[in-house]
Amino acid sequence: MSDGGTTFGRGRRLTILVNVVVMVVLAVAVTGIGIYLTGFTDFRRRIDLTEAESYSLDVRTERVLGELDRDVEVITVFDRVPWPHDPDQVWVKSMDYVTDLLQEYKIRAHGRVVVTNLDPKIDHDKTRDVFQRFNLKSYNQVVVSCGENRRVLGLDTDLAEFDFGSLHPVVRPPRLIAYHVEQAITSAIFDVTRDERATIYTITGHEELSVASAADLGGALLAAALGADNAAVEPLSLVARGEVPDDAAAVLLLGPQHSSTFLDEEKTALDAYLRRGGKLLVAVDPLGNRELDETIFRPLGLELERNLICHTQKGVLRGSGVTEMWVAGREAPGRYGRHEITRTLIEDNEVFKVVRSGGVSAAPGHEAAFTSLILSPEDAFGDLPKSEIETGDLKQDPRIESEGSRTLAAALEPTGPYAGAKVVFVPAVAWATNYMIRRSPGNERFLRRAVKWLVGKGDASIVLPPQTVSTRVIEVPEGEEDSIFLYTAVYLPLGALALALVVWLARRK
Amino acid sequence: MKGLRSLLVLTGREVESYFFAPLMYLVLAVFLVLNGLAFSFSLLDMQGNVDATVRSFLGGSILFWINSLFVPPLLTMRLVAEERRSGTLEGLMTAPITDLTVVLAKYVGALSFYVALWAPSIAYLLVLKSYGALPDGGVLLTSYIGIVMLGALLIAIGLLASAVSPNQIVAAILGIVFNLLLFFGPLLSSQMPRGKLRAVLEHLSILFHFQNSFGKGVLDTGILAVYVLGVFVCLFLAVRAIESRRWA
Repeated sequence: MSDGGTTFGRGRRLTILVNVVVMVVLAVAVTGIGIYLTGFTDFRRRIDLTEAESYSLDVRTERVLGELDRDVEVITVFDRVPWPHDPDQVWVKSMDYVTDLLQEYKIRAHGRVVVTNLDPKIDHDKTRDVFQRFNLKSYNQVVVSCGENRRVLGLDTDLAEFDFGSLHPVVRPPRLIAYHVEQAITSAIFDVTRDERATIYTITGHEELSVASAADLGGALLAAALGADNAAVEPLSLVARGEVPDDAAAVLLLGPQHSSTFLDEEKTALDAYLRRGGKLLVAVDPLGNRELDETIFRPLGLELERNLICHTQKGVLRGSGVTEMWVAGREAPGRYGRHEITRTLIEDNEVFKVVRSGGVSAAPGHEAAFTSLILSPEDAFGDLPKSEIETGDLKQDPRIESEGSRTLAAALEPTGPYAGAKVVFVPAVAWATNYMIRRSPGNERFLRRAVKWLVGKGDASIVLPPQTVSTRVIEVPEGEEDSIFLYTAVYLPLGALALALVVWLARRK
Repeated sequence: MKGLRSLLVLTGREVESYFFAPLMYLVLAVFLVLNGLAFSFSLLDMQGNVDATVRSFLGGSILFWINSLFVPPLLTMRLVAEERRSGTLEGLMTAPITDLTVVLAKYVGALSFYVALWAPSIAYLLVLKSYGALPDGGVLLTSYIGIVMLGALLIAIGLLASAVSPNQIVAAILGIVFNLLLFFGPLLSSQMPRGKLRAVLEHLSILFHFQNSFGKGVLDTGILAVYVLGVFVCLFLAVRAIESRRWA
């Protein structure tokens, strides 16, 4: 190597030049191959060192991914518009978190999960295609598809839980409460890789909520949400068909009105369906049709109350839990019962001044497994109606109207002749209207999870806990900001200068 | 064994040359001023959110990138170019040590001082702790790993620039230009449609590395490989560049 000073001949110089060129090309090639192998193949690994292991997948997710026998396509369509006045940008960061965790899915699925992140501002054509192909209506959604099966997940409805704080979220940025990304994505992959597509029937003929209607009091958003869960929603006239079809994964009875009537054959058909293990989600208003109370609900083990649950707390509505009305409220811990359906609802949300919802309880003499899903606060009371079609005075009469926590929504697994059936009771059909679903993501989440539980797609084997987000904040007293600045930007550098002086003096000696 | 001993001796000499040079403490002072400003502004901007402050200060602020992109070339500019200009490089080349030893010793010396530049920033944690909160330990660890990896790469680039430059001013300018290209080049990908080129550019973006890996508490082998292999190529080319003087 060290022949320094030697004068080379022309041929030798050429040889050296070629040698250098080859070596450089080889070095760059080795680097390129190394980067490719470690960054774009199965050799790639990510080591999550966060305290909460925020970027690691649960072992159950890894099992689902490891057992995939068909390709799954995951497309994110995120419009990364920063939220005004939010220094930490939790809105955009939640999108980053989703795309980041999807990288982990991609790596763990060994090529079975293909992830495409679309930026609507840049990928115009692809975004348009995806909107048309999956019938998307807005940005900030994730599509999980496999063949004809698909599920559409919303950022703030499925993937993350935000506290928007007020009717006018622009006033202050949202607060990120928890991520449900792994639960949502893993369940979606699990669902779309199954062949069957659930058919859910909605009973018609009694002025029920119309799942075809996009009006405020319609139910199109609920139908779309269930469709995004890989389910087909079909109307069902029990009068016309005389029975619930065998392919019914679940039946929805959404707010039959007081003015309508259930024929005997309808009651018989519904009863027969439940006796063969049917799944029913029923939303009945306190002043709605109560013809099924005696013939259907009580035999199942449900006792529907006629009262309206009220209380008088005032405050500011917070959170994204289930609600019926945007009314003043306050924190009321413990409002959600422990159940698979309520697992992703956060328990510190709003309380209703008047919820216009009826209570429900387990009918005496039944051994059905009754679970309270949503409870009113302790200081609520049940206001009895004046008549079958008229509310009470919305004030508590202590003589006849007792105070205390009441069950608003419940899940029931009957026994005896109805063994195998499942029922979810919702105390007001307004919970499922487009108007409320638009305003309360918790309503959609609750109803979707309720239907999912009924259908028994049950991600029971892959129920994953939400990733709660804790924010560590310090409060610097007024005036101490200057001290921090002085300590970090002045004193420490001055220390370095003092060292420079010491070194200079030492060297002079 | 002998080679290793030579490497240690030479490295010791290089490290000494940094830590016993008053000028380097001036660099340290300027570096600390910028770091201190970055920390104070981050804490203020993030309204006391400790984790967000750390993310901003260690990879998310402009001052961080000014420090990261401009300081390494200043540390490395004289390494080979100055020795060449003053004629001491010839002495090194006639000594019974390999060119690789020379390059590695200079590299480790510069990297040691770069790490020393960042070491006082750990004191900022004491500030946070005094107010009752510490950031996520994992994020902190990976952020500092990222800083060391970034420094390792940029110092290797600076060393290469110094090895191919006639004097230290040209070396510094060349190093800074390289670094700016490395920083801004891949950012063009954000304006490109999805595709392989965009994926490659994103994979090479040092800003993305901090946003998507180091700053999140995640170590990605694919990203680490970019740094390790980048250092390997730069040092390899630096050795070739020094060696080429023998061919003249």
